[in-house]
Amino acid sequence: MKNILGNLGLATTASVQLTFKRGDGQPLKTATLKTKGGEPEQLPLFSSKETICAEVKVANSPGKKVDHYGIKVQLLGQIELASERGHPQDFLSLVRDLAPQGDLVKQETYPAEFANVEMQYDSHRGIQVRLRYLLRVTISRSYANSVVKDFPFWVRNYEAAPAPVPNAAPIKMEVGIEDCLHIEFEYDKAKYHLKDTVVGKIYFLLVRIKLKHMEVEIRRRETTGAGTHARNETETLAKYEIMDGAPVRGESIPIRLFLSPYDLTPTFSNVHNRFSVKYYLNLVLVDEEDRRYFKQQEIQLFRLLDDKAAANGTAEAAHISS
Amino acid sequence: MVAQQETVLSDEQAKWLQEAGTSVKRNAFYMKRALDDDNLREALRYSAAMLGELRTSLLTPQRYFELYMQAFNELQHLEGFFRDETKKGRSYADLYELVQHAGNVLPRLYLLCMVGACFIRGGEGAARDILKDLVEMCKGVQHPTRGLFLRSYLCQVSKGLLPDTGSEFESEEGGRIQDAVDFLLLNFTEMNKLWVRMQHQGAQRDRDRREKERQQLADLVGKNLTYLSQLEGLNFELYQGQVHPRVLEQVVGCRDDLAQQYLMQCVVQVFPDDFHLGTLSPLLAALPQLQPGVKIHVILSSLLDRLARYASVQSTVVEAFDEAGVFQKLLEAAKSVVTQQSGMQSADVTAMYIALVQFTSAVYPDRLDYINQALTACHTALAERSAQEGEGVGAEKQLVQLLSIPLDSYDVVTVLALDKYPSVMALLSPPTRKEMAVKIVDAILKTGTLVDTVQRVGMLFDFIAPLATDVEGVEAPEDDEDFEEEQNLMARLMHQLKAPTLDGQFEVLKAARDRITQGGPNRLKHTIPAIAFAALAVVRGLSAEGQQGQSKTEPVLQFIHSLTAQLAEAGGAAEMALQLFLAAAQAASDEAHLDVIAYEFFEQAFIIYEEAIPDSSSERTALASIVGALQRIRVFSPDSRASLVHKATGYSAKLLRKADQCRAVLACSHLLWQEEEAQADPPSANGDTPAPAPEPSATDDASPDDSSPAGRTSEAVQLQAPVRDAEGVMSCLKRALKIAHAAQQQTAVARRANDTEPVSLFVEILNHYIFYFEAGLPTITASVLQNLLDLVQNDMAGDSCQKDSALVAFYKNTLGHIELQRARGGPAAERYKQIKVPA
Amino acid sequence: MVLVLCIGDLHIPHRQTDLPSKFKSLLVPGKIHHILSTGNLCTSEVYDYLKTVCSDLHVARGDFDEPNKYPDEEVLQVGAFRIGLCHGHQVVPWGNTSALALLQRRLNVDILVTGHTHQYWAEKFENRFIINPGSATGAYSTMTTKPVPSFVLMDVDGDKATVYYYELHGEELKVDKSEFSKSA
Repeated sequence: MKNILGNLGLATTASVQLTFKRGDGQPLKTATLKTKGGEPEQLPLFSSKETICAEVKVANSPGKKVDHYGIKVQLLGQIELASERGHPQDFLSLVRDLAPQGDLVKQETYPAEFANVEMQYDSHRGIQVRLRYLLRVTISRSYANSVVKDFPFWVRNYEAAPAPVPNAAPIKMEVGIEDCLHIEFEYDKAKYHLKDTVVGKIYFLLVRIKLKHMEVEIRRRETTGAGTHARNETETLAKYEIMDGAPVRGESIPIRLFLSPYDLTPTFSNVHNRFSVKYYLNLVLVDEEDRRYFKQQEIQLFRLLDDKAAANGTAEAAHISS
Repeated sequence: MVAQQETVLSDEQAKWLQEAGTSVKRNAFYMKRALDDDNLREALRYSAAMLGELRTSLLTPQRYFELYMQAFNELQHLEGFFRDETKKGRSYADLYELVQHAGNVLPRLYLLCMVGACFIRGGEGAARDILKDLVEMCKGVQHPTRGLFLRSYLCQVSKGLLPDTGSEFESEEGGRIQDAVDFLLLNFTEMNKLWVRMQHQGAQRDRDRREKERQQLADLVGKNLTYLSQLEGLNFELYQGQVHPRVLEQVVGCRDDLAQQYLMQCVVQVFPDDFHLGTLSPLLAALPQLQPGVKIHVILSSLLDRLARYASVQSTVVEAFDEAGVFQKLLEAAKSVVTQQSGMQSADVTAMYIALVQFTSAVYPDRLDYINQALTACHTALAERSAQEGEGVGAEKQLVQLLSIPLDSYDVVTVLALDKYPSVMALLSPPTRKEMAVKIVDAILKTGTLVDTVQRVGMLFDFIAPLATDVEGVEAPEDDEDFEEEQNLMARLMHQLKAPTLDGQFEVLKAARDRITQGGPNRLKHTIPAIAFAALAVVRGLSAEGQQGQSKTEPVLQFIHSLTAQLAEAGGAAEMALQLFLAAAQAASDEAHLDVIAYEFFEQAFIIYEEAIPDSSSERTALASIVGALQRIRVFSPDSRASLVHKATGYSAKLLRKADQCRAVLACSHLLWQEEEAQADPPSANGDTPAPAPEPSATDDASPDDSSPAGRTSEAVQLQAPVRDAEGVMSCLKRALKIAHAAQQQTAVARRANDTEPVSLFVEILNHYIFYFEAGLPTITASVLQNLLDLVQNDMAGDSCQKDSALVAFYKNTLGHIELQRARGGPAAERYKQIKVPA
Repeated sequence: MVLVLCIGDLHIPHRQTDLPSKFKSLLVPGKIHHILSTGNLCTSEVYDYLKTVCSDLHVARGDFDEPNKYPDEEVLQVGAFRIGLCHGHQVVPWGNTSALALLQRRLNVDILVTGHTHQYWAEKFENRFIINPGSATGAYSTMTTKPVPSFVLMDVDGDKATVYYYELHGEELKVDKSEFSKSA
């Protein structure tokens, strides 16, 4: 509310523009995000330890002088829970003064630079929490509300591919319902990058129910709070049918699930002690009477360093079918 | 009710198919439009939606197939597009991944198979890896019908893309023949598993329908085997080492009747003959392991058909068969099947041996021992089974078929060497056994086969025992039409018993006699005449060889004698026995020149005449035959002859009706007047010269006393000169006249004025006078003839006679004859001129 | 034009197995108008067979036929001809022309068809005709040493009869022909 009013006030007095630039002089990268309205939104994209440069243009309304106590730009990292909307918690705050107290009589341009900023958390827009980064330009004024304007940007961090572990055990687990259904599932590994492919197999050790089909779901669980106050929100991001019909004992069904079509993020664990985002593969078996049997298995997601170049645009989300 | 349900079912099916088809069309339309717009993502979306229609569970396999074909045709557009796609810079590897983003497994896999095929064809991907991936990924569809069609699609699109030997897709990376084989075998295995599983899904009551539906899908599974067989690189080593064992493992292991039945036959049909020869042992070893419901004989017979055809094309093949011990292997396999498939029905057991015997007779026409071995094995198997089940064998039709093969393939005489044949026949029920026997006889008659040794005759009778004797445990056959037909068949068969020499022939006939006389009186009646006539032919043959004498012909005639006597004893065949005695008497006279025996035959004929001829009509015929035969006999001495003539004349006078008596006596007159030329074929082998005309000796009062030649030894005698006993003839004629007069008086007494028969007898007598007049009988002078003629003319003038047109014609013809003779000229004409013929 | 088959003395099964197949193939059903059989069919099977060749079948009783099954003599009118049928064993001496002529006079027939001798024979005797078609199977005969299978086919056209005589020597079929016209 304060911001909105401030902006309204400013609109009559001063305008603020900010242009992001990279410290290394390379063209600016952007991230394309889906918004709730469906219109894609483009945001400048940075990673931790990068230098964020900005060019801030401040202009007064023609013929009107703006006096102020000073102009600054802040780099903020905020975590905002849905339950405490409007009161984000800053986990990162850096400031650069752009101009001392004075009068603004014409348009001024100020460069700003945040070098090697540590932005350990990825940007996140979840159901009950979001983590965002922004540059905030403030024109402080004494007699009126200050002019504050936010310029969000997106942060993604990358990991190097983990060194291959020669005898890395796949995720393998035998589950079942006694005398009814015993299966063993196997995913080739526990940790995947976002464009990775999940490869696995389901062995049917015992089948006494008439199955109709089987699918793998990718589920995301966002957790806020801790202990008894913990709150979970789970989303199913993908349903991928891997089997049609009823197998018999001894059959093995292959799984090959490409992650790239889905809007996934890396796994976030305990971000700033406020929230976590975890991913699960949920194996669902549906019988002829539409009863569902499932087994959920957490997988770790990370953003592969090699993806960095491609990350300029969003991944191609080719949802071929519903 | 059931039919109604099926109609409803089929209506629903049609509706569902139509709905699904419409959706396929609609999505295909959008798909094509997207393709026109070069919008790959949309095209994929619609193609997946189109293929999504194949996810239905509602359709029967037949209908599903129709839907599949629709989708299949539409997919070709997409495939065409994909073939061009790489030209636009997109790699197949990308496409291969892209289509896998589809959320539903069935559409995804169809697309994957299609892109995979393009991938290989484009040369971008290694055939081996892609095929391996496809065949593995298709495991995602576990629904039998959907899975079968999907894999069938895979099979279809990958055809020609396998890294077969010599194929453009064969390389170090692309794979070798081994990979092609692996691919097809794996696909085959998976398809078969799905196919078998179909049987176990759904309600028990739908079992039959399901089976029918499965049958419709058989070829989808079999296609893999066909493609395997078409691989260039599939040499024998590969087949023997891998394909054969792996296919058999799957087939045997699936434990499904339908699949085993179909696939075993498929294996037999699609792979080359020489492969089968090389893998015969394991192939045969699989047979006993098949499910009890599998018709093993059907499989075996297709295999044997192939092998037989193989052998017929190449002469060296039979040698190869021998080296491989093919027959023994087959026989052992059949035995083993019988042992291990205890539930196998006798009919099927037999059918299996039918196949084996057919094979044997085609491939080894000379190996009768093989057929015998097969028959032995079949007999053992069936005997055991019937012993266990305590009932008949119940494989009549098959057994008949089995037993018919040798008959069709070989000379029946050859078949007789199959000593196991009768015991297999014995497994049949008595009626069928008899039918089989009939069949054997028919075969002999049809082909004109001759049974030429005593040993073979014995065998033949073993084979046809049901016809030759009563069957134990079955009521003695009634003497009805069927029985008569059978026995007539037997009688006809007797003429096929023919040895090359006359001595041999006699032995053969004796052997046959020994067997048929065990058949009881009802059979004898039919068969004895045939043997007797066959024996008469032997006598004739001996005579032609100049062996009229005692040593050769007498035993044969005695043989005929005893047979005929048996026939006479059997009862109900008196006329036949009499006729046989007469025929034999003529042979004894004309051919053998054995007067004593000829006499004995006549004696026997007379005994039968006296004792056994049932009615007057038969008597008349019998007497006519006796007189006719005796008339021709030339072997008798005057005394013997006189004795027999006396008897015959005596019997004639004893006939019931006067008219018969009269005619018989007229006939007897010829016994005393033999024409020179009456002997149509005078035997000349022993150079008989006409003896001087004997003194007339046969008189009315001649009696058969010491002149009977019974006590004399029978040696070939010279034929006598023709009898010319004018007095005797006259005596007969007068006797005839006397009888005719008596008849005339009878009618007068009985006031049967219209009865013209006595007059017609007179006309007949007149004609006999004419006969002898023309023959130059000295006792019939012109005046004797004239007297009679006047007498008859007088009688004929009567009203009743004039009304009898037949009689008038007879008389007119008689007079006309005289006129014609007179007009003819020559000595007779001269004599006729003395006759005054009434106008 | 009327076709009359004269056939007899088959003696199946007593003396022969069957009618020669060559004859069977000649005797197709539907061609022949009358059959005059001189007898010795011996079994009803043979009778039935002849019936299939032509249903107008006349049989005279032979010495090996069942008693009372067939008449001893029969007379028919075919075209302009009176034809008599008699096996011939009743006519003594057997096969004697004069004796047969006597019978012919008694029956008052233009053509006498007779058998028994197993020897084909046809003779014109005093404006009448006697035909013996022989034995159709070439059966054993006491009178003929080497009988050959034979039969006669008579083509009657008004007052003209053409007699075709078929004889089988081994596998060789011989056909002979003679003509007979009824004198006014």
